[in-house]
Amino acid sequence: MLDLSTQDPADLAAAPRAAEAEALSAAGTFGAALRASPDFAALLAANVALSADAAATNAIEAFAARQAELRTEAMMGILTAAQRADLERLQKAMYAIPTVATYVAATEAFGAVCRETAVVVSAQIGIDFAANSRSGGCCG
Amino acid sequence: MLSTEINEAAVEFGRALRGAPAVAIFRIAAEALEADPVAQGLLADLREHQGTLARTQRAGLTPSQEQIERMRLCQAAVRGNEMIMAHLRATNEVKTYLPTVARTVSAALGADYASLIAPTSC
Repeated sequence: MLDLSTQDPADLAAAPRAAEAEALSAAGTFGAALRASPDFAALLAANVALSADAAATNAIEAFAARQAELRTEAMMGILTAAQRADLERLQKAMYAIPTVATYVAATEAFGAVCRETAVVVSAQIGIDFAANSRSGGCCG
Repeated sequence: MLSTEINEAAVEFGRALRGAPAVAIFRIAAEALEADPVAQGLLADLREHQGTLARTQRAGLTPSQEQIERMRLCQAAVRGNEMIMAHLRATNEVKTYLPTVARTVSAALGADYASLIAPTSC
């Protein structure tokens, strides 16, 4: 004989809601675990050091300003050799500052950890989590 | 190489996500589509027609009326296949759902997780 107590529509509706709540809760726990990781701590420390370094800020602003000035030429592929050399000089000067280099390395290291976690999640769910985790696709 | 803590958290997150309705329905739809030879045949036909049309256009030629008509028939057959449509609906659902989950990860992390894991082409 069927156990009609399991056929209660309220129970049937509650199960998906519980599964969804569990997924969101696990998402929060996972985010907190990433936040507690040494790689994220290193990124935060690098960010603090970078923010406090006036020379680094000036070098970043100088590169960003020149890059913005030359955006149209760069997009159209018509940068002159002199313009390209200027951009490269500013970029090199920026990366030569230890706090910038440390920040870039910390960003890359934490990004690598995050991408690796996305591979783990994708394997579990059977769909590419990295490519589908932004609204409108990965470029959205 | 992930630390044990992070790996375990990612596995647990993936396991919970796998049970979420949008993901569970997507997996069922994907498996059903994979196992359906009629649907697979229709999709293979569609890809072939799309390839032929693309090659014709790349060659600077105008597709013939017959080619266009065959493409229309193929598209109609695909649209009329419930297995393919169910998979399409499930795909759209999961693509809407996953960003909301990623935003929850970002809120706990304090940084945009979706940007951090985005393919390098993005």
